[in-house]
Amino acid sequence: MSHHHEWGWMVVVYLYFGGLGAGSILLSGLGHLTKREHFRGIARTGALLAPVFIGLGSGLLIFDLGRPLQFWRLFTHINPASPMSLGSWFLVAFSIFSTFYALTHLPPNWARFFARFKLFSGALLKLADWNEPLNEMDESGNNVVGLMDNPYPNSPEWYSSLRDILAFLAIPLGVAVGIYTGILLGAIPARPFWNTPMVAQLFLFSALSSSTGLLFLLVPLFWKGSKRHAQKEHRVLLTADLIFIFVEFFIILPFIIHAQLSTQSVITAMEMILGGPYTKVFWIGVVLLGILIPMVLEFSEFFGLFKKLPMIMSKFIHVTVAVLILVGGYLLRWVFVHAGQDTSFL
Amino acid sequence: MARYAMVLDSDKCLNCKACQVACTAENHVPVGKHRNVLHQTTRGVFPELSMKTDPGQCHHCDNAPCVRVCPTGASFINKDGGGFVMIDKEKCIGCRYCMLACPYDARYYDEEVGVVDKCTFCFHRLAEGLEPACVETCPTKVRVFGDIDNPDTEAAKLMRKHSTEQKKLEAGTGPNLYYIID
Amino acid sequence: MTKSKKKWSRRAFLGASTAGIATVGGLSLASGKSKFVQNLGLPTEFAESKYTLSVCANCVNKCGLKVKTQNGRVVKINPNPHFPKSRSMLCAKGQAGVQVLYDKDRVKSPLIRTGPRGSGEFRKATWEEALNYTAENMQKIKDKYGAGGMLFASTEGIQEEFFREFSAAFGSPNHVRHPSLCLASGNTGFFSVFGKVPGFDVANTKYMIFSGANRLESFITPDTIDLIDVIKNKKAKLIVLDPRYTVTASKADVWLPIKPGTDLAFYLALIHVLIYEELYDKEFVAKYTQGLEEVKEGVAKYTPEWAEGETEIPANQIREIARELAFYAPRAFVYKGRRTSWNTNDTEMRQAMAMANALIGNWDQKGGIYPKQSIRKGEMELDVWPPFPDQDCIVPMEEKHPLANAADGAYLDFREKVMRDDPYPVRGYFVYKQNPMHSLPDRKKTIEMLNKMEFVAVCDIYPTDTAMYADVILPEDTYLERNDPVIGFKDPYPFLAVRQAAVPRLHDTQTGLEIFQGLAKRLGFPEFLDFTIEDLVKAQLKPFDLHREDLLVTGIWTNQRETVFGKTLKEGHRFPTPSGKIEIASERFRRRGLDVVPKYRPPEMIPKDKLRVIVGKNALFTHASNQNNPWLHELMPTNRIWISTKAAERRMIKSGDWVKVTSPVGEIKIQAEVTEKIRTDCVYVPHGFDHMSKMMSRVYGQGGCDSDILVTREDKITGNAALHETLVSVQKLEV
Repeated sequence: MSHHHEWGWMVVVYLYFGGLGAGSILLSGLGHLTKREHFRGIARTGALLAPVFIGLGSGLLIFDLGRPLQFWRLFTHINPASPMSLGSWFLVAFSIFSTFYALTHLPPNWARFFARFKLFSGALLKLADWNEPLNEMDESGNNVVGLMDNPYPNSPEWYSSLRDILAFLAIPLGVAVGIYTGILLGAIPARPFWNTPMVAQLFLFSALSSSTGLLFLLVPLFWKGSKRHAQKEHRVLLTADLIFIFVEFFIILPFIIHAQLSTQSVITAMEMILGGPYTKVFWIGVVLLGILIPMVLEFSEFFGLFKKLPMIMSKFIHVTVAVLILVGGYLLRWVFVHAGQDTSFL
Repeated sequence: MARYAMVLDSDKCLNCKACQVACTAENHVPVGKHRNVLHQTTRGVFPELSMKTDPGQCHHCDNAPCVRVCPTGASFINKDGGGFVMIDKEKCIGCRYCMLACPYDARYYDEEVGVVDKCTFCFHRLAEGLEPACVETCPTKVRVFGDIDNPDTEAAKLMRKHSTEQKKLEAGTGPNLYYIID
Repeated sequence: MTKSKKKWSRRAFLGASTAGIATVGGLSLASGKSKFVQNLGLPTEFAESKYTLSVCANCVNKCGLKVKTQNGRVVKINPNPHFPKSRSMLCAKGQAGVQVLYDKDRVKSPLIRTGPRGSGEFRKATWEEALNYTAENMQKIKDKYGAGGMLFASTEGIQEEFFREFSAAFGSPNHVRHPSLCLASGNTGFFSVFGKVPGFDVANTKYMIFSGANRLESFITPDTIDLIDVIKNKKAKLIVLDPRYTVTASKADVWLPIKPGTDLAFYLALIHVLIYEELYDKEFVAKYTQGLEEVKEGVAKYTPEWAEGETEIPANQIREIARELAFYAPRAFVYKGRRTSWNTNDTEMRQAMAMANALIGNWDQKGGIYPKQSIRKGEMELDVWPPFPDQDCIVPMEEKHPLANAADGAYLDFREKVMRDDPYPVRGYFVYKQNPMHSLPDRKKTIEMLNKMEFVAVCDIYPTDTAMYADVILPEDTYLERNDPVIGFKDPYPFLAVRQAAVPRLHDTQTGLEIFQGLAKRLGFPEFLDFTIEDLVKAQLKPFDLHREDLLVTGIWTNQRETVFGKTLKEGHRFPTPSGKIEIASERFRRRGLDVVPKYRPPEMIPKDKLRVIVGKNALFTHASNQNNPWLHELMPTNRIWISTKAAERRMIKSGDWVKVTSPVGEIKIQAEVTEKIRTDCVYVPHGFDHMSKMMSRVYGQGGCDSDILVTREDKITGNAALHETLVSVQKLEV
């Protein structure tokens, strides 16, 4: 069935970015709420990345419309039965939310940089001061702080509380966005490849795993911490991803098994990845490269099997795992968007 | 309450494509897109063969999934006017979600204008007292269109006389194309 | 996905698709009206629609039309329900007529060749220049080679008579028409027995035998409507003989995949059974026919058992069909069919069909076959006589094909003679409404003939392959832009109709009459076409006291509202045959030294590695004329060669593979369609593809042209092109 697909790469990327935004903000919120010093990198990076990905994704989505300039019509109408209708309202709310949340984690030198442009310079300078993180290192560059009472000592009370509340809300909202990208596809009975009960969970955990990989690669760009910081942060991301990737794998397996026991429409739809045109991409790209190899490498690292390796090899493995997870996450969405459009209700 | 539906006798269909060209002409359908389709299947092994052609188009479902998923309200059911599933093209933003939601693949995307379109049962012809273009032009009169809630229409009579089936009923769409099976 | 948002076209789109809604009360739908209509963002003032009654010209059927125009633009063509022949149906070709008018590939002005012949390089010219150029060149040919140096070729059309009058006035004896590429053999076959070519009362019949005649697929006619009606409502039984499982075969009660070229054997055996089992209508045969004894002797050896060996149809089945045919008689018939010959014995096959019909006594009876009646139109009184040509026609029809219509000629004979300069050179070629490049087998030969010409003029609406080889292209108005003379119809009863222009002409084109008048003036014989179409219409309607407007109330006029049967079965009626009776043993044949009972010859044996080519049509296209129409082209952009699964397997061919098809005269590259729907010994090529004219932009180079591989053979009696005599080898092309 090689016909033209109405939803193409822009939708794939949008779903992917949505997932990354959701996972980033969720991990950021969690990281912040632990009040642990060595998770501040995660907190800041996730917070800053989320609105970027959501913004880019939404931008792509609007551009993909047949009449992009008419996108405002999404907001003069609400259709509770339509995941897209609810989703677009929700996405707007989430965009605003994540922007504000990002502001609460905005690096001070960024704020000072923007203050140079005269617009809101007063507010920005104040923000820079409020967002000044607690200095935790001693002369030898070791962390002296573990659990912090106040990660941002210059923040006023209300601002600190606000930040904490937003971080708290980031968790369910992140889950909601992660699930929504799955529901958007899952709500369509006409496309049996999508219309299965596990698609929302699958997208959520894939998003979380991909975001973990992303954070691993990008946190060093946003937070210059001590060696101990980096080690602890890496450890928690490793552990988190192990959990996410396990769950993801054990969503996929029953998904496929259960689908074989379902209606003919679903059985036929599953053939797309069980011998059909998407088989290779799915099993090699999504499962082997995106889940199993990272799982094995992460397991090994978790149990200290790589302790003896030189630094550079270690780093190489870490980067490889992150990249594989990210690629696998993209391919999952690619397979779903396209295989779904090649299936039909029988 | 009027309920417009179409009764089709696929056995009489010759796959001559008159209905497809008539529809394209009547509704300015862009070349390469179709509001109605003809699906020919052949079964058997030479010389024991059978062949059939099934016409299809938008089924104007009572429970249309395209209407359900539309985020701007562009797709709607004209409940007071006969139950047609219509597209308000002013409201359509071209997200194409409805195209994916339709189990009959009845909709197409009009690239030039940026909106989605489909069979309208030629409602504009009905106002002139004419039948839909595909119904009128057919050499063998495969399609019969009318208000099946009105017992005197030809469509209603055919529904009483023959057993009919609807396509993809399990999708829960409540379609209004009835195919004669006896 | 294109992102170009053309705002104005969106408005136009929204407007055009909904304009024309009358504010009619009545329908409850319309009463959803203002709110409903407003919600759809529709403009509240609608363009006014105008309907023009007219007649289609996309094929020979000429169905009735209601052409809808808005703001001077044709927006839709609807069928005219008052038309007795087409009865509120309009096929795909008719619906695509809008695009005939607005096709960008149409010839929009006279064109004069600038590059080498066949290069497709032309420049625009004014009518003045083009007509001068044409007349000058025609005169040059006449001076150098005599009037017979110009060959005139045309296909049927309402203005064709003007072309023929023009060619007669020019003085050329060489005029060829389409029947020898069409139905000449069928006509002669039935004419030999009945003296007339009958119609077939499908609507009331109970039993039909069709050989080919793919009425449910290749050609939508009123017979199509009746055929489906009687089959589906179980009123009649249909037997189809066809090597291919066509749509007609699929709706038939019995499909016999007969070996191609053996249909004559089937009908001879049928006749054998009818006679020897005494199933024929004894009373009818005794009263109205002659020749039974002679025929009985002639078919003695043609038993069903013998026929089984030839046709691969079981003998019992042949017997059963003969018995059923006789049982249902007189409401039963063997259908004549229509198109070109298949084999060189085609006329004999159709003659046998006619003999079978005569034996079961179905002539001039309901459900059988009947002489079509016509309304005698008035004629123009022009006191002119065309000159008697001082040369003989290069094809001596009286000698070679005495039973064909001499005025129609035998096209393949003409081509052959022209190429050999036999008996004298012909160096001018004027083609009207015809595409010989595709319609004649062996396209290479046609190109050779065209290249031999010193002057070629083509009058057409499209830049066809034939037009590519012209020196001048004279574009005619399309049927939607023309007022044509009155048309007389015979089916199902006689009636008159007239073609009305729906819009004024779009481009710099002219009506056929205007073109030939312009030429006649310049060639010095203006008096032969010195009238207007309106003059002609007036003369045609005079006997009935009618004017053009009277025909435009419903689109037709008639003085007889039903088919009348039995008029020729009255006492004393003389059939238009030499004996005055229906001649089961044809006197006309005897007098010309032809077999009164056909002698069967089997078709050429097919060597193991070869396949026989059969060709055919479908309801989207008329011959090779409109494959370029965008609305038809999108439904069939190219053709594929049908090959049976077994034959394909042996050659490792899968559907979609490119194959090379080689015949004694040429080869084509075409994609394969592997199917169960055809015998293993033949392949099927849909006609009309691979156009060489770049100006036919959509269909240029698409698919494979059957003409490139078909050998030149003709039915020996009429000269009708026999298109199923080609054996080919098919090989997969390695990419």
